[in-house]
Parts: sequence; C-alpha cells; structure tokens
Amino acid sequence: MLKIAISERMTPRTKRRKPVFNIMLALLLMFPALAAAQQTVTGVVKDAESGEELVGVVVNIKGSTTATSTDADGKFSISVKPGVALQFRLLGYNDLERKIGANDKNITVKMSMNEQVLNEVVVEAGIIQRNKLGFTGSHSSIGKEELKAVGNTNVLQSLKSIDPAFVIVENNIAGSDPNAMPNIEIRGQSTLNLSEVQDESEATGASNMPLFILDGFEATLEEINDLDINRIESITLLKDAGSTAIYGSKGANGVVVVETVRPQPGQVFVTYNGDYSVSTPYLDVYNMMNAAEKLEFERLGGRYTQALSDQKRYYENLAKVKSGVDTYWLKEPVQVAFSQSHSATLSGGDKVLQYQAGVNYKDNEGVMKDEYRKTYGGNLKLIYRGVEGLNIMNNIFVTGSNGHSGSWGSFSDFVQANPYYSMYNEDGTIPKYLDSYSEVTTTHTAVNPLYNAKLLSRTDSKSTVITNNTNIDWTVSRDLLLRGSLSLKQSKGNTIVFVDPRDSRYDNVGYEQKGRYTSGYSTNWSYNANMTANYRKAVAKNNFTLIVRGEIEEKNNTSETFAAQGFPEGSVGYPSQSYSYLSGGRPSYSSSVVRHLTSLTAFNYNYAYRYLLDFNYNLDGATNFGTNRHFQSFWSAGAGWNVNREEFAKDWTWLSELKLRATYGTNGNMTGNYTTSSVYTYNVGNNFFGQAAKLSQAGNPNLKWQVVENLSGGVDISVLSNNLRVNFDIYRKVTDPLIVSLKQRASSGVDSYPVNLGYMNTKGYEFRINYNFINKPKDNILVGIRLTGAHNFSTYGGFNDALNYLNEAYKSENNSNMSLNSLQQFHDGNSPTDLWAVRSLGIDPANGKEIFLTKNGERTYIFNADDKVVIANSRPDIEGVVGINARYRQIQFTSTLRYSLGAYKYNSALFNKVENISYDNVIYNQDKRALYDRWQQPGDMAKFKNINVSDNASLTPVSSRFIQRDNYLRGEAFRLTWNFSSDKWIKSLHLKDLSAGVSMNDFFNLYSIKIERGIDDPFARTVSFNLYARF
Amino acid sequence: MKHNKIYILLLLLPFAFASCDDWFAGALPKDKNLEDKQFSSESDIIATLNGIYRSMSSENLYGGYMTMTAVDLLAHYYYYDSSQSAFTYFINMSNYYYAADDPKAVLANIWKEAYVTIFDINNFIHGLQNSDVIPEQKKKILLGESYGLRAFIHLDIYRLFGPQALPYNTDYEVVPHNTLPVDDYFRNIMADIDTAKILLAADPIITEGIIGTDTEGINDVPVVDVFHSYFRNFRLNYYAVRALEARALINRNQSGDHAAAAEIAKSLIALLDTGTPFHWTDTGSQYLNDYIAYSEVIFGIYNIDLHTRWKNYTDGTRAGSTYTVYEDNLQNNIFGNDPHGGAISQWPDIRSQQWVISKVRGDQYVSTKFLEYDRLSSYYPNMIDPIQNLQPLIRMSEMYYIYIEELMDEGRYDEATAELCNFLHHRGWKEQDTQPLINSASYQQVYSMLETEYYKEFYAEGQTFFFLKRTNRLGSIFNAAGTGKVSPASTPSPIPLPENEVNF
Repeated sequence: MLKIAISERMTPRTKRRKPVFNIMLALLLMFPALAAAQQTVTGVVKDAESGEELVGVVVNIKGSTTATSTDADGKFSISVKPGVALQFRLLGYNDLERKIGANDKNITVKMSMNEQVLNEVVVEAGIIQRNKLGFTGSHSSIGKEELKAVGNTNVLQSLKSIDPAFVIVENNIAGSDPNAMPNIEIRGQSTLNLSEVQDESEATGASNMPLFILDGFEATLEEINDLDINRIESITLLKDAGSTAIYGSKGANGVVVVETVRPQPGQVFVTYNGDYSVSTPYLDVYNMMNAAEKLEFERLGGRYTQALSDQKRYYENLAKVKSGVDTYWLKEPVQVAFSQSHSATLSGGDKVLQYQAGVNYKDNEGVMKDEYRKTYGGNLKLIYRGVEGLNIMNNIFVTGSNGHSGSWGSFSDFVQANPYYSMYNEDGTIPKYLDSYSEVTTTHTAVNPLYNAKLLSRTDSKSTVITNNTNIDWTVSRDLLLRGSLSLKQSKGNTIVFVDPRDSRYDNVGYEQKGRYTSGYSTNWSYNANMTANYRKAVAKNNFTLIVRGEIEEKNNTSETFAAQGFPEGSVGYPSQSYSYLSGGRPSYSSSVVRHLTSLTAFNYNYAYRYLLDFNYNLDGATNFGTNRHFQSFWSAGAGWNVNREEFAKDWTWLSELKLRATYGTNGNMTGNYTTSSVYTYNVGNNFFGQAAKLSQAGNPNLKWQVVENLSGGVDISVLSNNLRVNFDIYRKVTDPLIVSLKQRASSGVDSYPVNLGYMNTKGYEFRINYNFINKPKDNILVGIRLTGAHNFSTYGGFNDALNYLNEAYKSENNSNMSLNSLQQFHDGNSPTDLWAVRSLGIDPANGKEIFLTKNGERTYIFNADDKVVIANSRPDIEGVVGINARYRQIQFTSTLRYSLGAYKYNSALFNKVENISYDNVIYNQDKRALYDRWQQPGDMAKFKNINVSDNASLTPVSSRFIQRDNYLRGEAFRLTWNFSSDKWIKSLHLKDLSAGVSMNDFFNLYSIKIERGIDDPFARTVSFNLYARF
Repeated sequence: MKHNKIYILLLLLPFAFASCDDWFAGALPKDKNLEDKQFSSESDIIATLNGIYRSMSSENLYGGYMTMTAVDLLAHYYYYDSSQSAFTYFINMSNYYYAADDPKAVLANIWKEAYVTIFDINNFIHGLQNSDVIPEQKKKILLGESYGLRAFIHLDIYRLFGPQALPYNTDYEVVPHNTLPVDDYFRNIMADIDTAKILLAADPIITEGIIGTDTEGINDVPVVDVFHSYFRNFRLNYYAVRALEARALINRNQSGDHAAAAEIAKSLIALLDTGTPFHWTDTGSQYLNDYIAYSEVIFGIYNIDLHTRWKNYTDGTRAGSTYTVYEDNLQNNIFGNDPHGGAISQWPDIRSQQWVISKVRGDQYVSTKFLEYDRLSSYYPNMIDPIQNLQPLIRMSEMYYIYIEELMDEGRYDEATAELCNFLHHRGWKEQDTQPLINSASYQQVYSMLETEYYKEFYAEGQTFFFLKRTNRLGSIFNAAGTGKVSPASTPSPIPLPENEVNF
C-alpha cells in the first residue's frame, strides 16, 4: 500500500524520535571522527514504502562503536574500511545491515517499518484518527506527493484525477471562470434536487455537496478551493457510512478531510514554490457561421421575403460581405491568460518548540478579458511539546480572496453577434448597435457586445477569513490520550456589482434609472470547541479502541444588501453618484445563528488485526433540526477481515494485503432550515399601529429528517510487493423518506409545503487499480499504470401521483417551473438523471417536417408532450481516469486521461442554434449546421427541419433528435518534473532541494457530441511551469 | 491512575449529553421569529395582526384589485377603446373574458392572496388562543377582529367568484380543502360573524368611540397599550362586524335575506350623529371635499402605499394603463340622473367635484378621491397621516342603500325616494335639488337612482360591481366608452376557479 502509506500520519514515528535523538547525541559525543585512509560513504536513508527520508537513523559500523546519524534530510556521512557492514537502526523500523563495497560512495538505504508500527498507522478522519489496519470504513488517503504529482495548481482538480468517487460536475455555463465554485459529488447523489427545501434566507437546502474538514474543523468549499496546495500534508476521502457516521447529520454526501503540513524539528528550512501558467480559451467547440454563410442562411431562411425593404437590406448586407467584412467575434472577449502563484514557508525548531510560517499569493487570470481571482494567505503554526506528554499546537491563518470580472459580460453575447457586422465604425469608434430596423409590428435591434464591454461595468468580490485553531493533546498514559481543541473563525465578504448607465439594457428608461450599483456585505463568526478521549487496550491479541468525543459549535451569519440607481455617464460607480435608491427598493438584512452539539462514540475491536469490528454512534443536536426535536442520532457498524494476517497466509509472501470490509449505517443530509416550525418575518415599513409581521413560511411539525441509509462493501488487495494494488467498492444508498416541497392548492394558503414523500435509491461501484510494470527502487525507476472507474445510478419512487403537477405543468401557462421542453419527468421507478423526450424518427424528406412516435408507437407529425418517454440517461455507464506514472531517476512523469462512456446529453446548440431559430433570432449568428444540415427541398435527406424560419410557428419542441451520446476521452492532466536535489551544482546555490516541473490541463479532447461548452465563460487549456526550491 | 481515566470519561459524558434546550432556544434568527416566539410577547402578537391588515392592503387585495382597479373595471368605470391593443386588459375585463391571459392572472392573484391571508388569520387565531401573555380583555378584541376578518375575506371571495361551491378555510395547518356548497359556505360565514360579535361585545368603540381622532395626538401613543382601543375605524370593530353581517345577509344563499340585512343597516344608520363614533360628513365648507366621508367610515384599512398607488393608477399619460373615466360615462350615465347642467365640477353633489381632466385625453377624467388629504389637514390637524392612507371598505352609505333596497322590495317606493333624498342632502344637495326626484316613485326609478348612487359613492371601493352582480344587472351595464348601456360580449357566471386552485 505504497500510496496510502505516504499520506498517513506516522504518529508513532515522530513520537519515538525523542530517545533516538538522545542516543544519537550520546554516540556523537562519545565517538568523534575516525582516522583517515578510509573511504567516506555518504548516503540517504528512506522509508521503503513511502520513500520519505528518515531523520535520526543511527548508522554504525558493525562490530565497532563508530556511529553517526542521519540529518534532517535523511543524509549521513561516515568513514569506513571497505568490506565492513553498516548497521542502520531506527525505532519503529526493522534493523538493517548493509555491506559496503569498494565502489559504494553514495548509497541509498531503504528501511521498512516493523509490525508494531504498521499496526499504528492511522487514517485521518478529520475529527478523530482511526487505526488503519483495524478500520472497516471505505476511505482513500492521498498524500501530498501523490496530489502534486497530478497537478500543482488546484486541490480539487487534482483530487478529481485521483479518486473515481470524487466527481466535479461539469459546469457548462460557467466554463473556466476562476470565480465560479465547482459543484462536487462523492458517490453520486443522495437527494432529489427538486426536493430542495429552501431556507428563507440562505437557500441552502439539502444538497449533494460533501462536507469539508480542514485540520479537524469544518471549512467551506471556497476555503478548500483557494487552499495553497503546498500547505497540504494529506487528504482523506471518507465515502461510506462506516467512515462518515461520525459526522452525523452532515455526512451523507461524504467527507473530504484535509490536513495541513506540520513542522518537523531540526534545521531551519525555507521553501519556495512558484507556479506560472498560461491558459488559452478553448474555442474549437464553437461551430459558428462566417459572414457569407450567415447571409446565405438568412436568405434561405426567408428573412428577406416579407417586404420590399427586406430586399434592400439583403443587398446592403451582401455588400458588406462582398467588401470583406467577416468579423470573428469569438476572439474578442478572450485572452491568453497568465497566472502565477508563489508560496514560501519557513519552518524549524527544536525538540520542544517547532514553528512553521508561510505566505502564499495566487493570481489566477481568466481567459475572459478583465477577469481574475487573486488569493493570498499567511499562516503561523507553533507546536510545543511539553513535559509529561503534553503537546500544544496553535495554528493561525489568514486567507483572502479578491475576485473581479469586468464589463465583458457573457461570452455568449459575442458568440451570437453576426459576422457581417464590423465591430468598429470607419472612424474607429464603437457603435452601440450593429443593426436596428423596424418591421410591421416589431423592431429588431442587435446590440454591439463590444460597446457594453468597453463600459465601466464590473463585479468585485472580496473576502477575508481569519482562523485560529488550538489543540492540546495530553498523553495521560500509554493507553489514554486526551485532546481538546478550539477553533475561532471570523470572515467577511463584500460583493459589489456595478452596471454602467450607458449599458444597452437601460436604453428605454429615464436617466434616473440608468445604471445600477448593488452592494452586499456579509459577516460570519463561529466557534467550535471539542474534547476527545482516545482509549485503547490490548489484551492478548484482542485490541480495543474507544473514542469518545463531544463538540459544541455556533455559527453566526449576517448579511445586508442595498442597491442604488441613476448614475451619470462616465461614473465609475460610487454609490454617492447615484440618483436614488431603487424606486420602491428597500435594503435587505438577514441574520442567523446555528448552534450545534454533537457527541460521538467510536468503538473498534479487532482480534490480532485479523477480524475487525467497528461501531460508531453519533448524537447530533442542532437548532436547525426544528423546535420539537433538537436531537437526531446516527450510527454505523462495520466488519472486516484482513485475510493476509491469517495463520494460513503467513507464507504467502506475494500477498501484502487482502482486506474484506463491509459497513452499514445512517447519515443525515441537511443544512440550515426551519421547516418544522412556522416562521414569521417582519414587514418592511411601519404604520401607526407599529410594525407588522407576516407568516412567511408554514412549517410542518411532523416532518422527519432525510436520513440516508448506506450499505457499502469493499476489498483491498495488494500483491507482488505492492506492485499491483486493487481497491474495489460497491455500495447502495437509500434516502427514505425524502423531503419534498409539495405544491399546494391556492386555497390552502401556501404555495408549497414540505412533506416526507418518496425515496431515492443510489447504487454504484468504484475501483482503482495500480500496477507497476517496472519497479526498481534501487535505481529509482518505476513505470506504472493506474486505472480508475466509477458508476452510480439513482432511482426514486413512492411519489405516486404527487409530482404529476410537475409533469403536467407545461399545460398551465403561468407556470415557469417547467416548460414544454423539459427533459425531466417524475414517474416512480425512474432516475433523476433520466432524459425524457418524445421519440423522433427524423425529418420527412418529402416535406421537411419532423416525424414523431407516440407513446403507442404510432407515427405522427403532431408533437404531443404526453408522448414523452425515457430516451436515455445523463449519467455515464462508467467514468474514470487512466493514467501513467513513471519515474526514471530524477525525472517523474504523470499523465491522466479522463474517459466517460455511455452518458447521453441534451445538445442545446443543436436545439437553439440549428433549429428553433425564431424569426426574431435570425439577427444573431448561428451554428454552421443550420445552413448545411437543414432540409431545403423535397427529397433532401436532412437531419434538421425546414430551413425556413420566417414562420415562427414552426418552432421545434425537444425530441430525441437533440439527445446525443456523450462519450469522451480527455487529456485531463499531464505533468513532468525534474528533481535536481542530488545534483552537486545546487549546493553552490545554497539549495538543499530543487525541482522543476511542467504540467498541462485539458490538453486534448475527443468527444462524440458536438456541443458548445462554456456558455458564459469558455473552457481553457492550461500549461504551467512549476519551480520548487528548499534552502 | 486507573480510576482517573474512568473519571475523565465520566466527566466527558455529561458534557456531551447535557440537556441544552435553553442553549438551543437562544439561537434564533433576528430578522424573523419562529412561531412559538412570535406568540410569546404582546408586541409581536399585535405585529402579527397588523401584518394581516397589511396583507389586506396589498395590491392583490384591497389595496388594488378589489377596490381601485380590477373590480371597478368589471363595473365599467374605466374607459377603453375596443380597437386598440393597448387596452387589451381593459377590454378583456370589461367584457368578462375571464379566460384571457390578463384577467386570469389577476383573478388567480386575488384568489391566492385572499387565501394566504385567511391562512395567516387561522394561524394567528391558533397562536393567540394558546398564548397567555396578553390580557383576556385585549385578547378577545384581537380574536374578534380575526374571526370577523376571516368572514370578511371569505364573503368577498363569494361575491367575486360565487355563486358556486368554494373552499372555506378555517384550518391553521396545511390541509387540502374541499369546496362547500353555497349554503354551507354561508353557514360558516355567519358562524364566524357570530363568534366575532360575541368576542367584540366590549369593543372600546361602543363606549369610547374612535379614540385617536381630532384632539388626540398620535405621535407619542404607546402602541402596545392602545392597539386594541385606538383608531377602531381602521380595524374590524364591533360595528364593522354588524355591517359585515348586513352585507353577508343580503348576499346569503344567492337570494339574500334582505329584511334581516335592512334591520341591521337601519340600526347602524341610527347611530349617525347621535353621539356615537359616526356622524355625517360635513358638507358645509366648500373647502372641505372629503370624498371618502371619513366620519362615515365604519371600517377601513391603513394602506401605506395608497397615495403612490393612486398616483400610479391615475396620474399617467398612457392610454390603457391609466385608469380614466370617460366624459360621457361620467356625465350621462353615472351622474345622468342629476338635474344639473354645465361642467361636472359645478354641481352641488360633492362627489362630482372629485373629477378632474386626465393627462391622457381631454374627454377622460380621473378622480382625486385619495389625494385630498392636504386640504383635509386643515380640518383634522392631527389626522393627516391616517386620512391620507385610509382605504375605506365599509361605509354608512352602503347601509343606507341596503335599507333603501329593502323599502323597494316592500314596494314602499315613496319612502325609498325620501330616504335617498335625505341621503343626498348629506352629499351637498339642497332641498330644491332633490325636489324633482320626489315625484317619480316607481321601482325602475328608484332602482336606477340606487344604481347611480352606487357608482357615485363607491368609485374605487369595489362595491358597485358586487351590487350589480347581486342584483343580476351585469347583462346590461353602463357603457364605459359612451352613453347608455351595453351588453358585455361574454358573461360567464360564475367566474371559473383560478388555475392555481384547480390545475395547480
């Protein structure tokens, strides 16, 4: 288990270092350097599994009292006579002997951990630590080396390439926008999105986002996203109930546990890490017409047939095309983006006090012009190792971010601009309108997106977070460890949106309404205090561990917003320049306090680390559970079997690990809301009777919380000296009942009402296979391949007819929830990711009309939304990565390719830019296929309908033609690093370590569906160069 | 040492399992309250009832559709031009095309807001009944108002959407409601009115009148102490419940119980100028044009947006979105019975003086009914604010008309005419002005006078349409765009239940 061992904290090793130091010091004092005429052997001692340098290893000459020890880099130097043997000793490791030949000048020694220590390797579960060998939960631990081997810029992006269960849901709208936060799922979904019961103020209903834990305390997605990757020591993903039950009501979607680097005693180090990257927009996915094509499409589409003036316009436009106007609008709002990040740390200390201080800065430029996200941070970590087993650690860190996007707006505005218009007037000025003309009833206006882009509109967001974490560990005895922790956190955020008064959206309003300034300000303050007792006992071969923990937490949020309007031309958006507040507008304010109280008991028993049993119980209490029931309990039980530890397997030297495990347990999926109690909100404004309050949310006191039952099983196999490792997991999650906000009759007095209804069932599996073809640790050569894959599928049921109003919503005109073209339908037994549409047989060559298939399989020209059936599912059959890891002495290479098979996707470009081009939308540019692939005359075997758009009634509803298979193979990440640490020349630069690397992201993309990706912000290809130095 | 460990563990346990309800109870949001807290202080309780009145003053109910706009469109006050698409909404409403998009949305909004408010009332009743922080006497007043309001809104749902089976909602929990047939529906209305009457038996308005008018300063009134006793005409007081009872009886079970209604109406009219809270409006001063007849208002609501909304409705320049009354309709239909000639504003009837030429076109008029507060301020120096924002919902004139209607039913046309003339004297008519009316005492004559009276009196108050509908006169109704009567193109009766109810 090479990978896992890297990442897990070697608690015992650091603990036992103390005596080693003493011995080492004693030896050094007693035996000064020996006489010359001997050869000097230098070398480095490493951990056989993790490859980490070992500090404080006693190196002595066999049969002699001459000895030395390794320094903070694991290096040693000793004078010996050729032919003697060196003995290497370190507590927790098996003793090692190595014969020194005449040519051995520089040697690498690998020591392996002894059994006792192996038993004490922990899984970092965030709030507690579990014994790895005895633990039955499903988790994966990722060390910093593994994380950085994939990529060096964003933690979440690297995680995605490593673990198949961790999925970043692609955001086709936001694209590569550096200010957009990713949407993450671990093992698919546990709740139906429709059922989101929204809190009055926070709109944070049940979601499928996992929980993030940073150094033992809850963190936000934004904090993890902005975290400097160099600060990370390890990441553990907790996936099943066996490992997440300890998080009770918050754990249903999995937990991401991040631990930051701890300083080590020894010499003072300064490290520097720099990252410089270049991103280019990914525009190949756009397939827009050029000027001549667009005009031809308009002619064929019938844009110029209605009146005589149309003809005139055609020839005017034709003249433009002939004169060579062919504007490629797409390149205008984008840029080649240069990003950089720097981080530096200083660490050191002695046995008693260790410190680490770091600063980091990252400037992430977007591929849209005038768009960036800057983050910065600083931290100071102090560890005091006192007497009598008392350790105190304090970590204070400050992080900040500064996001900006300028006036360039949405990329799609440029995509849709017509290519036969020029961006600039002949005199170089920028026209506000590309075209504007009136027809009988309507006026068509095409705004020049460049005009709005050159204005002073902007969006700025700033945030600052200050966190102080204190841990006090007290090793009461060998068996009992007590820990108390306190975390204090204060954060502030401010978002300002300013829209320039000249913006075209204000064309038809008076000066007192032109331009708008919106400012939102939020503050959060929270504390978390907890105490843990960890007791373990071994009786013969029976090992018991009992962890009891209590936690108290409070979070306060306050936010305010206000808006002003009516700005003078040229205003940069100071609110004092405004004409007034929004007419009828009132400032908004919200404030909330959530208090949380948790107690936890985790019990583990194993027999000789062979047969494992886990039991966890969590009693969660929170204010947002409702007034009548503050507490909810969660539990899990697990069993495991380490086959390789059986007597009969003793001689199976080829088998390093074979572990079978299974867990069952419950978790909650909820964040703040008060849906069990009615809520009253104060009205804005007073009358002479004073203030007024209104019932703003009718609560359901009988509501039961969404509890997710999770059954999971898995196997971990490691054979051939760890060169082949396989992890396989299979699971089933059942959420029963769901909370559904059900629409009510108007006469009931409420719009919708939360009820317990229906269930959701998610099944899935995931696997990881690592195989090293070549592994010569002696020569530092390794070639390996890794393959991961995951699949999950959800179905729901138990709604009966309760959701039919959603299915039939298209019939009612006032309902905006669902249109005729909705791809979602709710019928028991189906999947939330099913894509529903009316089946299509294609276009009738005779008349260019679409032929549909009714539910009963009859052909018809008439579209009826009731004929919708499940066409496909948008979840892939299998998705994962295949990668190569290679190391040749100083060079390391990792490449990651993402594959996805069997998913289907609705192609909105086909729907909106090939067909469904309404007469009003002809003014915008369209997909090339609208010109080449549409039916024109009888006999045409076309994929798309009649090209004529002059008749608006011919708009196409969604049918199966627009749902396409979405298989792809993507070059997700590629990284090459060169480590110069063993080169002599770096010494002259006073460097201890130096490495440089280059990595690429999204460097190629093979796909089966021609679809527009990145609507508001295009996706990007990134090449980055990375430098790491240690002084 | 061994024992120590156990002690430490034992110390941890109570920390983890402690009863922490107090701690949880402290963590409540500041800008909103959970139900329990809302009913645990008197100031929050009265804020909740005030919130119900505030909901009623929303544009979807009595602050718009039910008074000044939608329902008055149905009564053909407002001018429209059938040939112009800008008037689509006005045309559809005036012709009762309830299935067209705009009317459908408006009616659905009225329906929804009405039932939301009723649901709030039910929750208020439930919360207040279980609360013990408010003195019993005050509690009765607040409860009485709530029951009365529930009947009031349900009655208006009937008057708009009836006669047909409708849901009567008395539940504070969210439950699906079955529709009730008309007689059951009215049984519920009358039951709520009866409850309200009992609870309001000791209403301060009966003994102390309307406190807070003329002489009482309103700026430093401690609201919590007087919430139940001040400005009773802005709340559904005891007399308002009685008037509501009369209104309910005359509508009851379609045919109505006119005699019983008139009995109540008569008893309320008798209160005028007899030392009780209500007195006739003063027509003596020509500077005082109190078009809402403040002193005759039995029940109104405080609408903080009245002034701005009224400006929005009447002050515009665009046809189709400004609510204007056509000159012919005003002069020949609504004021057609008046024996005066010349400009409208010269007539002695004070109600004719509210009309001014609109900004839309010279032959279209708008009313200054809700804009007269600055002139009134000299008369009621301390009352500027309340009068500016009073949306009248029940006035003495309605009681007068109910009484007159009963006299007609009994064939006592002369008495009916005499009573009407008596009423008109309180609207600025002199003896010589009403003299010509006395002689014409036929049913038709009295009816047409009553009809124009509703139009004149209840402009922007919504009562006219309900009167016409109750007396089955919608088939032939004043032409909003000319002289005489027209038959709307469509009169589907009743209005179909909105889609948010039927096909939600």
